[in-house]
Amino acid sequence: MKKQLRLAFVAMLLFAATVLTPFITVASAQPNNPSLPRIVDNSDLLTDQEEDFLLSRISEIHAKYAFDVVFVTENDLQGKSTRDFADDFFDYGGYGVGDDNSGVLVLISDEGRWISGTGRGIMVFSSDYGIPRIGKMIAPYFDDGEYFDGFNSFLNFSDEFLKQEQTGDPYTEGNPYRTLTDKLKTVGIIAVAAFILSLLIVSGMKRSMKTARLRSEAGEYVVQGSFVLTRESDTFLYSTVTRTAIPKSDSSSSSGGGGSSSHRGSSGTSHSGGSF
Amino acid sequence: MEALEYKCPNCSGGIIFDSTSQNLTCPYCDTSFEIDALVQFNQSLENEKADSYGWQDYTRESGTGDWEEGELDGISEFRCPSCGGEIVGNPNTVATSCVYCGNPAILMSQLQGMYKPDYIIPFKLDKNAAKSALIKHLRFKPLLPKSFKDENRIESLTGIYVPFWLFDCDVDASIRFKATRTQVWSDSEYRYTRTSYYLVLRDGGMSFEMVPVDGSEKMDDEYMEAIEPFDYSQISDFKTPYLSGYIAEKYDIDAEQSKPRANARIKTSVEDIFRSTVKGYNTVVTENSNISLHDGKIHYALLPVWMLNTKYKDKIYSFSMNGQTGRFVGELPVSVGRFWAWTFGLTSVFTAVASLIYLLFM
Repeated sequence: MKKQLRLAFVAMLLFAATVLTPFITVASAQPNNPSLPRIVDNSDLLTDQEEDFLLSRISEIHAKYAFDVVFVTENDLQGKSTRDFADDFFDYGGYGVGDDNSGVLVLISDEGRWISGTGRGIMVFSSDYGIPRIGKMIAPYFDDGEYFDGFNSFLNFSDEFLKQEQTGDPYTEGNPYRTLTDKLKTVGIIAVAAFILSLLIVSGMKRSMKTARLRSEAGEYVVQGSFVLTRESDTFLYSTVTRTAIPKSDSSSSSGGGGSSSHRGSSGTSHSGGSF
Repeated sequence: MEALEYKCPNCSGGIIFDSTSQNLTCPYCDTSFEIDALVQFNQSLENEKADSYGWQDYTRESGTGDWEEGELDGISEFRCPSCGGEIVGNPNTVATSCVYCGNPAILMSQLQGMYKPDYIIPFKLDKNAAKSALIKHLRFKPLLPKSFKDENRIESLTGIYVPFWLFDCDVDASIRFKATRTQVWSDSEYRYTRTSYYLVLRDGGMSFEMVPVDGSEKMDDEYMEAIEPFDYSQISDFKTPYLSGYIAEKYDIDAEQSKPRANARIKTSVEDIFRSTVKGYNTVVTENSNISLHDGKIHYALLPVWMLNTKYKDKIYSFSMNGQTGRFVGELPVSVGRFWAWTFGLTSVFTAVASLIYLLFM
């Protein structure tokens, strides 16, 4: 019953949004359609308390970053791919904040899981970096059926990625996001290198405690000016040429630079996207 | 068909020169050669000789020779000339001080049957200089056990004239190097490396003057070489009175036994100096060196050395100081605790600094 009501509601909104969107302008910190449900749990994977908690966090993100977050669980994709379903759901549903409808949508379905970014979301949740990076970190929760933890963890990472975007230097391939574990690993490697370096230095100090050593040569006793060369000949004998194949660099993946690859949905809006 | 055999510089295999095809290629490694280069390479192989070390023997005639008439006479053997007390010394002691009256004694009879030294460098630094050199030596030694400076006691401090053999010679050398130069370039598919091999020959000569070799069994060679060099501008002809007040040893390793050490050091120096004239290559390997040493002269000299023995936790630590230049050498104990404290201390500092840079700027 509840499910049908929701579907009807969404369908109505989809219609309304398609017609009305061009005429609506809203203050940037507020979602364009604040009354829309940010969690559409048609597969019933979350309890009501869990939804309430996640919704309150989504509202925080609205306020802090003027950025929309939508979670959809749906098994009936109406014959569309996960990508098209997610894009259309976002576009026709009228989600997003500001003129460019900035936001991100996470779709969980039997046919796959998809993250779709719109507006500023195309940069923050980029197809090349943001989505695969976050997807990899939250996928284990969804694999294990821990949907609440998965969504909650997605909100944690979104918060960090959006915060970084505000500094004007969003996380990209060239400015990678590092978790605490990543940082600790690097510090661990630094510590090992520092230990080896210190051991070398202190071993050198230990060696210098013994100054009584044999000399290997007698250079001090060469009579000054006595050194003469009577023959200096350098003759070319032969040469060998070796060649090694230069590894082919994959030009398609490295050409992205700071941009993000995007595609256009049926509504004409650009999206980033990727499964996880 | 006529065939000539040459050695391949790359693999040492025999190269067959096929006179009909006019081709010069090694059948084993397929390297081809310029005929002139190959001829020169094989000629230089043929000309290589064994090293020769032409030292003159140290004899009465080459050195200062025997003691002058009367020089060794009139002195009571093993008896102190001041108080008549009996002096007990080891068989190599030439000069010492009397245990009864403390006066210096030179045991001339000990010198009989030995050569008279040609040269001597007199002591320039006294007992106090040696003591303060030890204190200075212990400064800025972070690994030294803390108690060493306080508990360490000087057991003995002795000025000794140590017998040295000094070697003069002219050296002719002929050295063959194999050198390579590499060029790297690339096209769209491959990176190419061309390694060119060169036969580098250097002939020449140089002279060495007074290369010292310790002639006393008792003195540790490591210590005696570490306090080098002595300033030979202050060397003077041997006179017995210089010995007064010091201990003097006579040689118990003769010139003949000392030659190999001098040869080794001279050969290394010659190779180093020749090697430094081979420039502009990526790698240089000494393949053969032939050294011929001639006009080798050997001198016998007494050189001044302060020996310090200190005791710390029932172990003797020895130090030597060049009695002329003050160069101070020795071996100090290392505190295991301090070793690891420094290692981990430095590790923490490096880790903190590098991590801070990483977390703030990367």
